[in-house]
Amino acid sequence: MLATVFHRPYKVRAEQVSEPRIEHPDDAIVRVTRSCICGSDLHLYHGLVPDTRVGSIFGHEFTGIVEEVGPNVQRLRPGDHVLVPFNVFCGSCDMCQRELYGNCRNVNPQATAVGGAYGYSHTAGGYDGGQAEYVRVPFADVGPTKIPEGMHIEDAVLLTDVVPTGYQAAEMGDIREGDTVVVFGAGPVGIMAARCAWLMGAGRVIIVDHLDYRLEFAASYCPAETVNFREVDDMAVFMKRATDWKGADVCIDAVGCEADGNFLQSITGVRMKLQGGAATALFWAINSVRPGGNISIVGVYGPTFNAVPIGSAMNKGLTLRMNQCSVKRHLPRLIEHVQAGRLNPRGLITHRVPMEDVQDAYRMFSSKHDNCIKTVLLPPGVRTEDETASARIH
Amino acid sequence: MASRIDPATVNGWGADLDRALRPAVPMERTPPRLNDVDMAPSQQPVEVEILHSIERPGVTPVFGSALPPHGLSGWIRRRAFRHSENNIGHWMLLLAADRVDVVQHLFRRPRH
Repeated sequence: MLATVFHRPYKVRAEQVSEPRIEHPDDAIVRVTRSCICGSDLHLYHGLVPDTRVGSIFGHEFTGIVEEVGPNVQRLRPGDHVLVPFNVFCGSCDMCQRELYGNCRNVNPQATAVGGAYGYSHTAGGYDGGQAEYVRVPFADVGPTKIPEGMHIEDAVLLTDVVPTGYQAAEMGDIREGDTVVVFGAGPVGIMAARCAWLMGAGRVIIVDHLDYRLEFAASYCPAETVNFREVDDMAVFMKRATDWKGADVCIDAVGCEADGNFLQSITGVRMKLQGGAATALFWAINSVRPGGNISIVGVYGPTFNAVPIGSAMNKGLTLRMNQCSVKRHLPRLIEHVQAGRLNPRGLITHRVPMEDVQDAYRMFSSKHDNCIKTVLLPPGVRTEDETASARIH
Repeated sequence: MASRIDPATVNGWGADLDRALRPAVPMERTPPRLNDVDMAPSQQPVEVEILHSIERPGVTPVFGSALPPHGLSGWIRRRAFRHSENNIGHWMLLLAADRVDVVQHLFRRPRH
């Protein structure tokens, strides 16, 4: 089968590799119909995630058709068209019993600090990812969700990560009616977080980035007030001025470890890896929020440590909430939002690329060329006009 | 910065103002509303070398079996896993192993 194989930092290739097989009675094998490149895939691509082994297959956002099921699988059948949450989780451990599916204890031998995820290095369990023709899906009765009849397949694939993560980012901010919400990062997750902040009753939504094309998109899509941080001398002063000297009620970090905007953070965190990435966005978030405010973090950082003003966070009495998204618990409500027209996930997609060209797709996404916001990969033989889950995919 | 946006003009404003509609409020909810699974999973056969964190007693019931450690990079990874996740050396050794892994595969296909 064709798959996106990691060779070295800044190099992936579409290559022929052997197909997955059932390894556990609860497994299914899924034939991928759509997959996406995520902003967090770039951390793998750039060599920032420890234990990213050469030969890893990337991809944690995918839809597919069930081809084969293990003997214990009861609810899925071959032929079912499913969207698969990026979390690998068991459903039975104490974390899953708390609906914290991103923190499952039974799926990742390499790290207790990280749950299981498809295609996200051995630090996340060593599972092959969905930027491939076929994927092994553990706990097939628990994770995958059948795509609702009539749902556009591109909406479905964005429900595996981008939409729930953006929604949970806003949700962790505990937004109250009329709150001023600042989102750092106008990538797909940040844009979705800004969109969802309105669903939770925000009074004002501001989004910060340095790429004008993304800010223009967010201004229309979310909608949102926009700030290009290259035009700002001091982010905290700017936000104080913009909020009547009070500070924002909620700040969301939707950037993570490869933040631009501060030379020292970038040098120590990204180039020299003395930190688990550059924490610039989180730094700004802590200093831009009001006393007693909330910080929500969905940006991904390395597992070591980062320089952030924890003293200011303490003195200001902030609440910091963060986690990988627990996708499955959000799906019922988010499917309602999509079907009601309140959310338009596929409106984020700017590029549709055959999987054979994944090398170019990563380069484009990494360099932010061609106004790229979100890229969907098409497996061999899949046509873009196969829109709905019920369409016959060959 | 662009002028303020009137929330009343935003599609879907306030649809989840009521916290009862927010799926992850409260963050920990038990028993789960979906996926209430009674049985602990059976053990996946361990047919290749699987390194595990020393902050847990052994290999998890289910795991990814791709790309077991091998060669010099594998030797470094085994040493990395002698240290806990609490030890920065664990992560720095894994990053070093990743770089050695690249050199190991300069003239070799990474998988078949």
